[in-house]
Amino acid sequence: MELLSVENVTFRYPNADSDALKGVSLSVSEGQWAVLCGLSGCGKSTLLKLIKREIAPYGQMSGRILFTGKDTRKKSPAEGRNASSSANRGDTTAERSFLSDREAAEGIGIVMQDPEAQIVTDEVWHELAFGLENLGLPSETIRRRVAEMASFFGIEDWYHKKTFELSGGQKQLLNLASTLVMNPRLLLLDEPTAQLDPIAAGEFRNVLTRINRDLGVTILMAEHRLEEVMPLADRIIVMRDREDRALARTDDTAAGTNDGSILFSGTPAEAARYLNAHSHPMAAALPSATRVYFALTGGDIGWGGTLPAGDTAIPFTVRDGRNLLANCLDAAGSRTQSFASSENEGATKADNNRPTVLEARDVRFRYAKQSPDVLSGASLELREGEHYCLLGGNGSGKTTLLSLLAGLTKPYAGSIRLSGKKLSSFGTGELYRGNLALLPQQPRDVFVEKTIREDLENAFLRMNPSRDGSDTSVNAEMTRMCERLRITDILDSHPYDVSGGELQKAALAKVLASRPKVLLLDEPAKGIDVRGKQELAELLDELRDEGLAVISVTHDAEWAAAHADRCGLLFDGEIISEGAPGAFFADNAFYTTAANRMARGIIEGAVVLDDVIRSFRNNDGGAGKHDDPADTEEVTP
Amino acid sequence: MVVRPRRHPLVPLTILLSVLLIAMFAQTPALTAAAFIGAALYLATAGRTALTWRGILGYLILWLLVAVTNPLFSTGGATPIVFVNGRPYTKEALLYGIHLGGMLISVLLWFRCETFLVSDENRFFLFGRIAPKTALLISSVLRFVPLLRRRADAMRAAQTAVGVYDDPDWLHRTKSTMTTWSALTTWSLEHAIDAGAAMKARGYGLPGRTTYRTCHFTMTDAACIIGILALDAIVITALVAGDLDISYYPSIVTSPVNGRAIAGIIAYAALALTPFFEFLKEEIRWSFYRLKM
Amino acid sequence: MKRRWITFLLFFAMIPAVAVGGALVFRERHYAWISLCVAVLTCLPILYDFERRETGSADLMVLSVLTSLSVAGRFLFAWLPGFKPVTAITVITALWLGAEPGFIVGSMTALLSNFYFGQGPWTPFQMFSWGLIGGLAGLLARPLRKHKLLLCLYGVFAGVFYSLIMDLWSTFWMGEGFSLSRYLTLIAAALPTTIEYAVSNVIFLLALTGPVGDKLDRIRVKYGLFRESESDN
Repeated sequence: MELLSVENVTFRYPNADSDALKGVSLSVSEGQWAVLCGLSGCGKSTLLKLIKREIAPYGQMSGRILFTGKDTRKKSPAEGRNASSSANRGDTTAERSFLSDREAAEGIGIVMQDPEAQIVTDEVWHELAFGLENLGLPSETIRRRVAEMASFFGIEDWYHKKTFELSGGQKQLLNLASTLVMNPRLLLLDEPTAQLDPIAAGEFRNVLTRINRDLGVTILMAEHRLEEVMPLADRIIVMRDREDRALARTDDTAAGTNDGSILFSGTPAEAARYLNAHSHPMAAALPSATRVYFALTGGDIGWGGTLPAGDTAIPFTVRDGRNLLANCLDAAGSRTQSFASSENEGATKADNNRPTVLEARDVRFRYAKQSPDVLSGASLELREGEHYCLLGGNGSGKTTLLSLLAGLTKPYAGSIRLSGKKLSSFGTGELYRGNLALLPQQPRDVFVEKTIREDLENAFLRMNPSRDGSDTSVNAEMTRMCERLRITDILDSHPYDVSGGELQKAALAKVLASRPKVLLLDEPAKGIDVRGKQELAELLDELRDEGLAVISVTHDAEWAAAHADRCGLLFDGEIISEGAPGAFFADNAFYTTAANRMARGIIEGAVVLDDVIRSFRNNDGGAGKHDDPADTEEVTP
Repeated sequence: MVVRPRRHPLVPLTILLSVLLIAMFAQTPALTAAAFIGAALYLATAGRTALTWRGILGYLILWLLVAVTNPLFSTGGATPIVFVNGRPYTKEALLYGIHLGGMLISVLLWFRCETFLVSDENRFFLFGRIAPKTALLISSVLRFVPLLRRRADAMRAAQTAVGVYDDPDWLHRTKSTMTTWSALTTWSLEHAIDAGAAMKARGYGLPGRTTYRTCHFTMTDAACIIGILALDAIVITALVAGDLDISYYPSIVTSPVNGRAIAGIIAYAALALTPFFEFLKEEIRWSFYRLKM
Repeated sequence: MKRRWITFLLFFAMIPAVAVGGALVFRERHYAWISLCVAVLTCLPILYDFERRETGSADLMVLSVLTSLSVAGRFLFAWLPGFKPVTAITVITALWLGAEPGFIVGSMTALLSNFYFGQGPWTPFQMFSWGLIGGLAGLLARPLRKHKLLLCLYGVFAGVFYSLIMDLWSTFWMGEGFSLSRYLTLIAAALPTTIEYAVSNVIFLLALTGPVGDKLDRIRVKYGLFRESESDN
């Protein structure tokens, strides 16, 4: 029997002028791991929340959602009366077809994106027990189940900690554990790893794999990054992009004939094929190996070889990708080939002749006299128009360095100079006008007003105090900035009512109001979908053409490899290696891109997917070496 | 670290309340002294972490202050030491002030003892039983406060970097802090909604909530509580009968010493010293345990 | 509803009973005893009612967050001693969400901030006075929301009221019985602090009422919070 079936559900938020979900039908059977994929705003979160009725949003819904064959809607009083009258006649079917409060709370668990927002109590043990306490189970049962779950998750070590002391990854594991302790049959996950660093995200996925395989818990997960979940999932459900109604054309696939929110549902291989064939924006989020496969079989790049067809031939993991590449080369009669990365370096915007804008020399920092150094002699140099990516694990001091560079905290030794002038010698109101700007990790932190417009107006007025005595020039400048960032239509929204990508762009508009020379970005790629990342990258490129220097602190190797001019690895308080992304990532074994891991030892020097694909073009006699760069650029994340 | 006491948390709580209430309101130097000694001994051994030299100095100053200022307001005594502005500064009032200050300090010390007598976990266990919703409110506030402080720092940094904190004068600074505060409020309220959803998603609001913590109330616990209440009864009998009365004005007169008074003082001293002796017993037991190994 | 009234009556009958009973035992210190009883027994029925009433999870979290903001405010404004947004947050809660939430936020702030600043026999008095400041503001919500001047006056009143109650506490605890001269001296000594309270209350109320009120309105509309009759979506 289907555990969950959604039957023709259409949903519209109050005061909205279009449906958030349209004609959604899907079913998930027991034990499956299904992934809902689509760009932000496609309605995947809304769908998950509708399934979990306790947190269902307000609005108009039609259609039915059945869980274990019972309607998940709360029984309305009228239906209740009918049910009780039929119960009097000894017929309880009407009664039974609605999910009770307890069944709903117990049977369906949900873990959402923000690890912080889902914690209720102040101590780990209490958090684990919270759900079971609500269910009213006897203390003995609660203690046994909590104990089991704590050991399954390896939580014993921090069982008595305060919840606010935990790391983001631990918090999210705790959220998962305190949901699972209630023994749900269906686990809903809304981009659960979006806010985690790669290592914590990997751990989280490992646990998910275990609970799916070992405990048989059914998973329905919303995700816009497919690199890691594709090999794990049983089924991929592709959702329509909110903005792209063009995909609603009638075509050969059965799913494509309707104009509903769900475009396609099938095995990962089928879904990959579908995304690729329809140039769905999510195709860019497919695993690197898959994208190489499609690039090679697609024929666009002019590679002459053939690859096995059929769904089982589609690779998802780095391992399968390596096999694929090796086979391709075997077919071409060689064992390895090298990718000339000079081409890649020629594309960098900053060369060594450009003037240095920001320079940190031997910077040292600690929080208290007795505590160890967080930074022990970090140095870096940033040139005009350059994009520098600072990578490093958790606790390596990345964020500390960024706040030192932003002049928010002061080093106890070493110096930081902006255009040759010490940061500390900038006068009040000088540093953040026309010099430095910082986009914080949570873009909403820069907003204080009721609408984005008010915030931007304040910022533009503050930063450009009536240049020629009137507001009009300032307003014109603001309008220009908004048009450039394509945020004009969200200006009147509340900062908390827009998507992460939109808010990031709005925040960027606000911090750019001061016309800085240096822009500091804290985890710009976190939680943003493929399209958002692409837009941000294009925007940064434009700004850099105008001379803006950018430092982004990130965990995201793919982002750094694709968009940085130089990368630096911060470890143990120092920048231990630095270089152009090609050389930088080629030397790293683990802290690198999936494409690089895939091509290591097969195609030397290939760092981004584009490099891998281009190497085949080169191999083919250079027939199409430079003819269509736009074509391959699309594949870059 | 979690200490699971062998006694039900009601036992230390009953001791604490008995000692505190009597210390707060009884007017007998002997009882005050017993309360003070009991708290001081317990804090000096079990609660060493709570005592700092600065804290002790603070208590002494408070004591001195109460003692010295009392005669300025009470002129009831019969033995003037000195005249201030024509008003007598009397010996009786000073002694009363010393007593009063000592009482205040004992009460404060017993509040400090509470931290060690009843662990956090047990306090919330008891509280969660009596007032589950308030306990949940407290638990979530204790989580939010550090979180808000962290968020406030992040927001202040973000606001600084967009030039909000640019002017150094205090008026501007206050305004900027208000701006940060306002942003923090928005964030917190949205966060509250999310937390509320997470609570609901895990079944909050279903009827018949239970608790994780269980403490079995054993016969020994019952016996302990009956014992404590019996001691209370002895003290209160003496108090009601007036055997422990002392009157400071016009000159110090104590009630004649009788059996009930002595019994009351002994009973109260027993209550006040129990935490210290319990701690001592544990220490000795542990030393022997270690010796045997 | 009927049961609620009975419990209220019970509590109100308890106040004099316990107070008189205690005064017989603790003769000389009956002022301190009675004042403690009044403080504790005023808070109890309201907390009891809050405990019994069904509160939505989001409503509860909003109360918790407001309390936390008010507790954290004692840290955030630490660079300006005496400037604390506690009263403002309590009053704004009361104005927008009602008398009982106002009382809860006020009294819980006192209780919880003392976890950080030290518990003592003063805790019930702080709970009592901040609670009452919130509760009263909730009862006067309509005029206070309409007239800025009244709101400012209320801020002054709250500062003075809090100060007077705490001075009364000091009088009872640092001296024998009740001595008017001692009370007046304490009031005089605390005058600068009282003025600071009053001024900071007015400043915070003027600065925060608009923005925080808007935010409360926003979540109330967007998520349908604090609607008495509604139990579920």
